[in-house]
Amino acid sequence: MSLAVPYTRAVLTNWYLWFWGVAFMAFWFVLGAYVFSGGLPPGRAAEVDYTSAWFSVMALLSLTTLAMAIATSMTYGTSALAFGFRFTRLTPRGYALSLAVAAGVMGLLLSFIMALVVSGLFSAHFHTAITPANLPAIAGISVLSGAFMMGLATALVLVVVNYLGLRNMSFVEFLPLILSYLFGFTQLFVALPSWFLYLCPWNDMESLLYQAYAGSPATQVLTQGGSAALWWPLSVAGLVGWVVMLLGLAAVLLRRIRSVSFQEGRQI
Amino acid sequence: MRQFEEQVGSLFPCRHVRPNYDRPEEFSVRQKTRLRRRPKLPLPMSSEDWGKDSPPLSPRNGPRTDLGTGRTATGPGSRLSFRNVFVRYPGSEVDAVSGASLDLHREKIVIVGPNGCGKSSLLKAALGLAPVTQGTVRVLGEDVRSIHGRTGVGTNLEEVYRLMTVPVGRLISIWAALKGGSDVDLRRSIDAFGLTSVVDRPLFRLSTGQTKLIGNLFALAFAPQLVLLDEPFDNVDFARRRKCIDLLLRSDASIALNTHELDLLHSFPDWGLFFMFEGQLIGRFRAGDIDRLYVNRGVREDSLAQFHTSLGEVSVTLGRGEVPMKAAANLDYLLDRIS
Repeated sequence: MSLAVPYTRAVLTNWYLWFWGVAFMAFWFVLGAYVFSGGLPPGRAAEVDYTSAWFSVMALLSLTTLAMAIATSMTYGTSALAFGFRFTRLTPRGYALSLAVAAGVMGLLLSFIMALVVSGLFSAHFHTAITPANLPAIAGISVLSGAFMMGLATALVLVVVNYLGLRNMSFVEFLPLILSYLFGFTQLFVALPSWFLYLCPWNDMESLLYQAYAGSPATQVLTQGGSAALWWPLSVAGLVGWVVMLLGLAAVLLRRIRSVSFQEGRQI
Repeated sequence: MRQFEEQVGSLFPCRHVRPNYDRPEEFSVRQKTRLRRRPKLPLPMSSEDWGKDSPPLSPRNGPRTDLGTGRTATGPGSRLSFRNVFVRYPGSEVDAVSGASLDLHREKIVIVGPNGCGKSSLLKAALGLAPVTQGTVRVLGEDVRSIHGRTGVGTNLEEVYRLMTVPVGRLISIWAALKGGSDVDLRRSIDAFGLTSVVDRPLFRLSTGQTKLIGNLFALAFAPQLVLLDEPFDNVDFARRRKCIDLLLRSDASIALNTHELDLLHSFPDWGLFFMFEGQLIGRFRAGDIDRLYVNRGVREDSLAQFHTSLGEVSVTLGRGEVPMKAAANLDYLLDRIS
């Protein structure tokens, strides 16, 4: 039994997600285009790199809002899921896939909107067209990234619900965002080992989004064009591996989902 | 009487003082005490047990039950089965349900008990929503821990319908797909109950009574075999109560309904009746005999059932006794009177 359509509809009509995933990020894009770009060396190459780096980091953060929305809403539905898996046609695998589809569609939309806003604002500021080099690649990476965020959120929430107790929920809800900030900004300025960049899903997403926008391979340090280039097939493999692993983990944990009252999560 | 009152004080509300099940030696002593006492009680209820003027049990009321123990003569086809079930929530030091045993076949029963006695926990245990620490729960013949995809169970618990934030109208469509049925009858029922206006709103925007009614209608929709209803008439107005009662009486499903309102039992005279006190399930009786049942302090020779509370033994008698059950609107009041 698939809930892909109702979940996709529910995600697409979640105005809080649109605010944090789009409106809030647009605010940062304005700052990136008009405030932080002051010290940029002249030349189109630098402008493209700069724009692509902003796109990759902001798209990553925008996608992370998906994970937070899914994590929050799932805590309210533990009883519904525990009942649904027993006494309806809903299966853990069907539920996980439905959520992944919904997250993938929303991820696709978020990334396209990010690409649109970035190319509009940065092109206007630099007085030259800086458009995405590979839109189909952005689409593919966004769908994969949405599925990753869904898998991550689901797995984290279920570990808390099943084993740790809902009091840890506020930390878990913010964990994807914290990790996105940590790994996203680290790759901007710090030379992390290549193997780590391939294994870390946040860096995989960032590198792939960068390459899809810029049209040239991402480097170990995104703000230093001279650093070693990353090989995109390995980044794709790393990200796909994480998606498969997290969706599998989510399906297993869903089978053991415990009905909890969201009141358990109250801090005060 | 005064001596009794001094000994036991006020019976309800009371603190639960239970055997410590973490200490097996204490538990076993308690169980032995009970086992010695139980054989003195009348044997399983049947129409004969209830006296000449008591109408016979309807065949739909199912199997005979050992009064006071909740043990039931079981047979094949039990739609809901509890075997010595204990429920304890994380962080709690008392059991919400203590050793409940029950078999529900093609029949309907009411479980009556004061607020906080464990009625809802019992139903949640049947739905896999409460932590069962001991014993087994079987639904439609399968262990509730491993059951999946059995669409023949309905409930009015609001939390099971919180799959996503959607208006009731869309929830009906989603639920029809999940249950593999048509949503036509459910929409018709909602119209018949004058709830058409709520279909554009999500559940959490409805009043308590509207939420309860919608839950009742969802529970009875899609041709269920087993319906578990938690306080189905709470905050429901009189006219709609009447309609709900009619629906329940006409339903072909096995129904376990819990309530703290004794008045309601007159609407279900042929249904089986259980009482629940401090997590213990006591029965089975017959709902139609509620006017002839009495509650008494201590153990009596003619008691049909007796149970231990934290403040002493309480027995149930038929035809005569200290406090008539019919005198009370609910069990909290009743137990307050005998204390």
